[in-house]
Amino acid sequence: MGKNILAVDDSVTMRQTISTTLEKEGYSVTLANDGMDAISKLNGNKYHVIVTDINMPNMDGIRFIQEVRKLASHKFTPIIVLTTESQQEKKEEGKNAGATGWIIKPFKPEQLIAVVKKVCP
Amino acid sequence: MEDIEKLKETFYSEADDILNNLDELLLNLEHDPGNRETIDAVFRNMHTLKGSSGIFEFHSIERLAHACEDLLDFMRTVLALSEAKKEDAGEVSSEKMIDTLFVGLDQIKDMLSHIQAGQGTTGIAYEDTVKNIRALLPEKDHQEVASNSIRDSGLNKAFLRSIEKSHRDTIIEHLRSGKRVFQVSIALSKYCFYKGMDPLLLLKNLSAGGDILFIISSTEHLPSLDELNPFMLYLDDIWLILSTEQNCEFINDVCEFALAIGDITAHSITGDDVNAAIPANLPANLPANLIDADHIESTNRISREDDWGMEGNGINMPESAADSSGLKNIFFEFMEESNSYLAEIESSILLLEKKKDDLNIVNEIFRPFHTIKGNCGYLGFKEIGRVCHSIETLLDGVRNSTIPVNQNIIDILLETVDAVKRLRLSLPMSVKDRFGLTDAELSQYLQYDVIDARPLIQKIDTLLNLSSTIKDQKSPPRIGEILLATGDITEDQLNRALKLQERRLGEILVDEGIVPEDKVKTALEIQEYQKTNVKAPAGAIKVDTEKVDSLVNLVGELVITQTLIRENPSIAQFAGQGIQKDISHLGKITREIQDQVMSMRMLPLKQTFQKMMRVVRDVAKKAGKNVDLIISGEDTELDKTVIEEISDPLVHILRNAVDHGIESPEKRSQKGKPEKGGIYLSAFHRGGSIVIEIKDDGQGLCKEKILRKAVEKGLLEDAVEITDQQIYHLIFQAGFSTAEKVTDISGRGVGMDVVRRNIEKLRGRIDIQSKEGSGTSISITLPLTLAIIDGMVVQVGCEKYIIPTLSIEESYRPKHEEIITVQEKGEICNLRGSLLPLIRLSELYKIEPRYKKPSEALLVVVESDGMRASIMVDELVGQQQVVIKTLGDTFKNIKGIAGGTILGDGKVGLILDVRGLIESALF
Repeated sequence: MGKNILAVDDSVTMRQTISTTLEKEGYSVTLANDGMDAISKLNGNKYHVIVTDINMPNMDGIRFIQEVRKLASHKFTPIIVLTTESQQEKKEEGKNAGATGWIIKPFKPEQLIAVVKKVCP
Repeated sequence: MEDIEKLKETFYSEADDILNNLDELLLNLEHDPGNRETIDAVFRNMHTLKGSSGIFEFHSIERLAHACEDLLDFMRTVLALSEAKKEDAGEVSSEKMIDTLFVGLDQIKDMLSHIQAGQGTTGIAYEDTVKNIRALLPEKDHQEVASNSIRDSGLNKAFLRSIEKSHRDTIIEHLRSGKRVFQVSIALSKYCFYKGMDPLLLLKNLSAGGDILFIISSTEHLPSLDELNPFMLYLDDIWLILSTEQNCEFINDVCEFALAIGDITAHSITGDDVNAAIPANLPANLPANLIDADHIESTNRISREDDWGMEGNGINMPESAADSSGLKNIFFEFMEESNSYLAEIESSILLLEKKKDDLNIVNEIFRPFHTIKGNCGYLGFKEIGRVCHSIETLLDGVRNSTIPVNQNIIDILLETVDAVKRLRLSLPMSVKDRFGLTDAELSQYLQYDVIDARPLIQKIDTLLNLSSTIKDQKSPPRIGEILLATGDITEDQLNRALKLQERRLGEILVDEGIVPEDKVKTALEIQEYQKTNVKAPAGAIKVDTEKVDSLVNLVGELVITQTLIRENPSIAQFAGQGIQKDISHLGKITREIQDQVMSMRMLPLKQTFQKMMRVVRDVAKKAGKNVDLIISGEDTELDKTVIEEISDPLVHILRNAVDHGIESPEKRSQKGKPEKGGIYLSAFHRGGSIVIEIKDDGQGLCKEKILRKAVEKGLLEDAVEITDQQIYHLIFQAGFSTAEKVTDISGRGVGMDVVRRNIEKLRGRIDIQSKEGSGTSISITLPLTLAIIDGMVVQVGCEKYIIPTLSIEESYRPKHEEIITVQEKGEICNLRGSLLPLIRLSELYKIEPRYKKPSEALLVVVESDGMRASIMVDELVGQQQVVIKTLGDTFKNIKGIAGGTILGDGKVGLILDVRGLIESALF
């Protein structure tokens, strides 16, 4: 049974990178453009892992994580934050908001897979 | 790599968008340099560009974008500073900064087009720009946030000491074989689950790269089941020994995320460390200087009874000596008793081996194991309890014949007996104090080093799982059921715990005083809003309804044009040149496009139906009825507009069904019906339409009462012959409903005329079936879409009209004698005994018809609302799907015309409003 992953990023390139990488590994990936969009996709669905960017229009990653942690269905779902090395404080913010782990952009496909596996075998 | 190429394409087009955005944004920023939002937007775009180019290793772009990002970040910081401080920081004007950003942007554009053209970026002096940008920035204080890594807390001697000899030997063995052995401690935040962190997963990941030789944790903070919050971590320290071929990096890597919410230490253990540890069995001889002061506390906390599942902490240790002698006796008794039980079991097992199908023997084995388990629970010997519990489950399976008795089972039973024998003679040191034993007494019972019962339990469990997967796919029992079965909790306790689980988070938060009630309410409202408003199926894009509507319109035009071409006389001349084939192909594709576009406006009924659950519940509660709403077909899709409009009529109908249809529970049981009434709300396709059906098993409509009421109200003359259908439709009459508010009459009717009107507005129809005493069924037939109808094109003189096929019953040519003229009622035709008013369109719309005598013309029998009439036409041209165009506000009051459409020959055809026509003929 494939695991469901929700990937949230405002960049279509990043979204495609994530989905191509993970789908090859047998995950089924749902994509969302921003936090708002992602929240709507959480509704009624169950994801095993959520991968999210921080800097996004409409609803940024931090707010999104906070919102996710309020949902009964995804309270305990591992959330991986996509960050860049220049944004240490964002990483901290993400962690405080309830993120489980992080991956630094740009990343190699194997790195993403490894991180996802780390939080959800 | 095809994928990479595809991704690159995506990147190029995205980058293009971003660069365009940036152009515009920077221009805006130039006009309004202090606009924080613009800076944020520029930053975000730059950031995305940087991230994406990083994936493809376009390092030049990445570097430049990064520099720009830093500059923007600096601008943000300056913006946030107070005026006075700006003076200090602001040697650089924002103008200069924006100029530089423009330079950077242009260069990124250049680089991108170079890359796209397959050239390198070597010709572009981006490094200079990067330098220029960096020059604008203040010296960056390179205080990287210290990256988290695990600490080396040094050796915890107390922990090592608490490990019994056999495990220490294993450690030595592993060390000798060249592996590294680490002492690892994991202390995670109590709330780690709320961060998606699962400590068990951490352990699994650790053991994936090595062997966990020993693990222990304190259960000191584990509350009783009543107080236990399953979403909290109560194991505050987990200590383990990990043997691995990898180095400390591996542990660091596994624990990377966990470090953010807890403290993790690791220390490499040497053989000397192990040997230096004093045998735990002789605590009296512990030299004081060996007790590691730092770790005394943790030793105390580490209990021998590490626990991953069983509850119950055993009896409390009494302080007084008087009690302790009693305890001592209990201990001795247990030892005695268990010994004899084990012997009993052993002989029973051997007997079972000979008579494998004798279930009585299985019982003989089960019972003593159960007793031992009970005692162990009481005395706190968890390890034995756990083994007994496992074997009990297995035996239970055997008793219920889900597991066959074979040699495997016999073997494992004997193994278990041996294990329990050994376990009871290797009780942890703590029993000495707990039961007040003397050293001599203790030595009698401490003959072995503690053995690990886990492998055995695992073996039993595997056997169990194996049998259960073979036997049936039944889901495993819930934890509550297990605990109840093992007698660890009472049913009351279980129910209380379950209730606790059932409570909503909001309630808990309010009760705990964490969040005020109104905050929770607002949160709920937001949640509700998001539930109802943002519901896009997976993999969907959001499109403005307006766009879809205009697309629907355009496709409508396309259909018309396509028909125009097909019917064009000059095209018909080309017959035989293959053009007809092409045109019919075009027609097919057009229809497919039309279907697809129509389906874009379709939404499932799910949400509307779900809303009804609540309506029924509320009304039922108010009316003191016991009602179940059973929903089916909620995935049926309908036009968006229809969905929006259907909700109110449904509420009306359901409300009536509960209020008037379903009887009170007492009445129902009197009638021999189940107390709980049922209302079935379903949706399904029938023909080209959607049917929504509301069925109840209530008392049904009472025909006499409706009739009486109708006569009373003057809606009906006394002695009229009337069909059941017509009687039921009376409740939809406008005058009828008001009287129905007096609920002593069994009909429904509150606002039913409104319901009918709403549904007819949607070009739907409503039918009632009812059987007194056993229920009513109301079905609403709705068109799939509002934009297109199936119509019959009819000709009257030189005009063409369209009659919606939905309302046509039949058409026929009447005999002369079937037409009767009645005074003040006009012409009437007699169709197989029923009298229908005859409508001459030619007279209504002042056209010269081809035929004036009905016996030469055709009559189309139409029906609406149970009323029927016949329309006289010259001929039937054919059936056709037509796109409805409204006639606009100017003509909205014309009776009998619903709209217009453009027909195949380019002429406008009027669509007849059948109901309006019938009404004007009847009344």
